[in-house]
Amino acid sequence: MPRSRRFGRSRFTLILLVLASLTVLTLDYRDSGPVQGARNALGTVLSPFRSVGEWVATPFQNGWEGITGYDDLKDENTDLRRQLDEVRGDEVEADALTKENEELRRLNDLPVTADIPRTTAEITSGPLTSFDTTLEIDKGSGDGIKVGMAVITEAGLVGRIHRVQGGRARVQLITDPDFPGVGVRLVESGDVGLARGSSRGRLRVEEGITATTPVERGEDLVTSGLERSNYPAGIPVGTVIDVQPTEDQVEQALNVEPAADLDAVRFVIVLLCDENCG
Amino acid sequence: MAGRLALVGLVALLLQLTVISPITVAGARPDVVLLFAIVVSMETDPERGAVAGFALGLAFDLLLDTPAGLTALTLTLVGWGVGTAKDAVLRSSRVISLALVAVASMAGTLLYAGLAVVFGVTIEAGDLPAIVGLVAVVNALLSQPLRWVVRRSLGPERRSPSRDRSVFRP
Repeated sequence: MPRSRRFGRSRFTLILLVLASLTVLTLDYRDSGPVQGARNALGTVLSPFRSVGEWVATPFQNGWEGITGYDDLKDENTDLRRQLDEVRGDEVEADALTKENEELRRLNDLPVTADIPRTTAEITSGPLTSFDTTLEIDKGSGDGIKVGMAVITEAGLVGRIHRVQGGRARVQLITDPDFPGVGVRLVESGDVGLARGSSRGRLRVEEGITATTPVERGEDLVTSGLERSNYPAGIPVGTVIDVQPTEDQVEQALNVEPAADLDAVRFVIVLLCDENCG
Repeated sequence: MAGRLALVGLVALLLQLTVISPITVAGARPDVVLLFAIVVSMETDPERGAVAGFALGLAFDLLLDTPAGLTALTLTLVGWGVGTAKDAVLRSSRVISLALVAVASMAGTLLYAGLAVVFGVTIEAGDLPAIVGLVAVVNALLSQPLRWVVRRSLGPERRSPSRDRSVFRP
């Protein structure tokens, strides 16, 4: 075949493929059935292959983590032992207060997080590319999991279910810049604001905290549970690490360190309520 | 031939999912799915490079949380671009091949990031240098073994003709 004709045919193929890609993008943007069906089908087909691959790859990954992270792990271990000693002292008091809080909430017909049905899931994979920020869990639609449900650990809020693919689901972390936001309440002052994902694995609160509210570094935030929220009230969200006035000086912007260790999470709890959990 | 190449693509995808993705260096992850599109283009022609890129990119898209079609679009353009560049100006030489893989990997990663922003994905610009650098280095290192595998899967009759004379083809 002459070179010019071959080049013309390859350009025609290129245009077709670009149009096909744009069609898929449009269908996915509209959240249409075919793309979701294809996601579920491929996820199901690849699931056993991935399980085998993960089983084979785990020793190598552990070796890599051992080589690259040994010193960090050693320091972290020392720090965690120190923290554990502190936490042990607070645990009994916290349990008593939690029980008292639940009893009072029930007496006042308010929802209690402990009463919400839940399922425990294991993280099967982390982000798949440099531009992906989601985690995959080993539970899916068959376990009652739906998009929007809150994902937590004992330490605090991790994120929300972003996509359900057959027997697996993907979790969008609260630190993802595209996370839609979560209503939060400052434990000390009771002020309510909206926390969104920020850079470097942190959260940022830029709405709701008035300039006159005293906010200390180290103050805790919990979910507010207001307005048909998917997040029940009282789940730890994070700790304030610094406070600055907003540009208009009317409110305060808070940078927040998540309460849950999002880099080392292995098991999570999915709260099986997708609306009005607050 | 297409079946064998599809099998190589599937293995590359599974490697990305199970072995490559968990490896992070300075917050960046390598990308062998992009490398597959580049290598197929180098071993065949722009058309087949674009088709291979589209097919594997679409499969990867369906497993990702980013908009479906984004990787397919990127790998289609990268596959066609690499195949065209190789056919037009390059002669066979290991150094030039490695440079082409590295440059194509950088371009592909930046193209993906740019398209992602257009389609509403937030990208931290400060993370890009580490991501682009890592993808380019790892892909250059893995390109020779993958080229060998792709060449074997294609069979002798389907490979692109060797080019070892002029740098600029008439």
